Amino acid sequence: MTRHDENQLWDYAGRALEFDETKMLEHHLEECPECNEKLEAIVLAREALLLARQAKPSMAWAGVDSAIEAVIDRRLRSKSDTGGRWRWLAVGGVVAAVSAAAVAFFAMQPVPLESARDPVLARASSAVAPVIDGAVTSRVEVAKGLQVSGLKRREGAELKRGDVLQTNAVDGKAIVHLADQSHVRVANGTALELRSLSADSVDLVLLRGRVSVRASHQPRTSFVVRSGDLEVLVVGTVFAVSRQGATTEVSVSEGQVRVETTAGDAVQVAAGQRVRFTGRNVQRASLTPALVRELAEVQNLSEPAGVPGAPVGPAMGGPLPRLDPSDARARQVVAQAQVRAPSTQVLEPLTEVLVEAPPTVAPGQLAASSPPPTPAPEAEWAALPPASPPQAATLTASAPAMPAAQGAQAGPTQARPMQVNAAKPLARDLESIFLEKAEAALTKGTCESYLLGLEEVAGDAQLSERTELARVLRARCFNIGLRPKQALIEYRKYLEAYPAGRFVAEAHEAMGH
Amino acid sequence: MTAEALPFPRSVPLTSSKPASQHEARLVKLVERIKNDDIVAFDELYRLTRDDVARTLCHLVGRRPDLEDLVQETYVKLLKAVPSFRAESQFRTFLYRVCANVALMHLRWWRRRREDFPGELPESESGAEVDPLRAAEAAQASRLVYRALSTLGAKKRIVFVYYELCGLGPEEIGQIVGTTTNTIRSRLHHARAEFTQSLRSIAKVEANEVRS
Repeated sequence: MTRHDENQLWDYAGRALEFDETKMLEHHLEECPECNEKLEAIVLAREALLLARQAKPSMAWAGVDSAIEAVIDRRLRSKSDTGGRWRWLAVGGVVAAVSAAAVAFFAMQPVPLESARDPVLARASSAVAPVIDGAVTSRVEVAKGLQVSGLKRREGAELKRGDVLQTNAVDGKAIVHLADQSHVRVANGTALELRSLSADSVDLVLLRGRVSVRASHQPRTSFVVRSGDLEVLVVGTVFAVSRQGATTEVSVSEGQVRVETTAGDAVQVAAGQRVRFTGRNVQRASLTPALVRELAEVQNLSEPAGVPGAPVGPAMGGPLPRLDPSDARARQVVAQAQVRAPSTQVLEPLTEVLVEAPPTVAPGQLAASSPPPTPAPEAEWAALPPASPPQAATLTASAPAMPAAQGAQAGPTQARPMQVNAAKPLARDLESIFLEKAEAALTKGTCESYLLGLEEVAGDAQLSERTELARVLRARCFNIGLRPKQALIEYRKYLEAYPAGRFVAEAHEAMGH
Repeated sequence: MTAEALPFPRSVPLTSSKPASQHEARLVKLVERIKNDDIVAFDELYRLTRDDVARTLCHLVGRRPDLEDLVQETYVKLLKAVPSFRAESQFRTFLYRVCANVALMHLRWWRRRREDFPGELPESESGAEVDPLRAAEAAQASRLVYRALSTLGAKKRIVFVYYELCGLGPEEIGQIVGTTTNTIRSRLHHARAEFTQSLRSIAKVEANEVRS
């Protein structure tokens, strides 16, 4: 080495030089103090870079997530609008052609409209029939703002394996009847992939949003709902799975759920509880009023009678049958679900932050005139009492699944099945208390912990003054939290849902109209 | 030996913990789905790549208050650009090109405004870091690196970050920034010299401050 070469020093510091080059450089370093000084600085720089390379910036992902979801929703909406326009143009063209033909032939013979129809429409029409060749198929029972694989779909549309259901973010909703007699309610802003739909095996992938499932008791090989790294394996139960980013929540209103990881940790979740999985953390709380309503809606879905080809099973018209805890067969049948991580992924042990939900409302309490105040959704997770030792023990041991009936006697965390008609007024009252609290927190500037709960209220498919207020409160909360982009998204959602609402002026002003 | 003739063997590991080819194949499949109007695949692509994008942007522009906005902008641009991806290069290269464009625009805009470096330095989350002393060292090192990086020009900074922090080779960086490999090597040569000098002087100033 005849002169100072900094790049060679970088490679030497990174041990990336050949043997001969290394020897030559070391020889040069012995007699060059300037290069020694440079090498010292380069080694320091390399060490600092190595540490910086591993650093991960802390990000407020919730805001970015919702912005990206808004972009996706916009894209979906514009696509469906375009599709709609083309379909109308096609239908218009067909009508014009038919009219021209009719005039030309003096209406001698009516033109067969069916043959000239837009193939997309024709497909949709033929798909209404739920039964094909005696086989039970999956179909849409209720559809509002629903797209299936990018195309708008209505009630009666048949579903096939590989379809992706997407509901719009504002007021979308769908109820799907599956071939195995189970029902799935798809909440607004949800994307759900139907990976497998046979009567023998159901495999659903929740990409985002929330689904509530009433799994039938039909014999089948598997019923899986996947959400991120979690799998919910179902035998027969009523539960909901929601996913927002890396957070997944599993809520159970009927039966029992067992949460497992490959590390061998296990978490028991009883009816009336919900569990939030965020990375390696697990938090418990009780069901929110909105979830109670939603699960009750799914629980009350009736099965179509006498569907040809349907496997024979228990009557599914009302709530799932209550089984005697002492009945051994009941323990085999009722309500066991397992949530587990894929076996290929090695997870670190779960950290349970809080255990045991407060006593859930019993049927007799539902009609009470003064309902207990609802805690703020985020604060609610933190407000729960600490774990009782026996339950905490189940978190570290891979205990076998506790039978549902047995779990129902376990203590105050167990809830009776929800009483739909009675629960609704209570839920409404709890919501108004929650909104009042959120408003009060907004004036103090401490509304951050209410955001999630406000979204639950605002996301209710049934628009009302409460949902309207919740949406505006979210926007205001984002505003005072110096998150103007999120506030704008909220105001935009507000204007889409309530074009003549009470806070339209405020929304327009915020959006600079 | 000239800067252009340097061999540049790579010793930097890839940022992804999964085997690169498997991860890449998964990303390419998602891109194909997006190209076929399956917008849901974009959501999955975002979830898979967002940490990498955030880290890269943080390296490229430093920890700015609007880093989240830059991530968002990157994905909006990516969604528009995806139809032009022809799988001739790796998807990671394509993604980094979008990141580089967003960062370059941002750095130029920042320079036009002639604002000083805001001083809001990266709050590092070292997931596996449990030793507080080690964590403090890492945070201090990151802070110094970001201050030193801020003294580099935008083009040199991009090349330096992709080479030293993201583990890309000169050919790949050349594809990202749209220039020749020799130009990349030349920029890297100058960036290294400036970075080392500036890191040394920053460390010296800080040491003096601590002493006084």
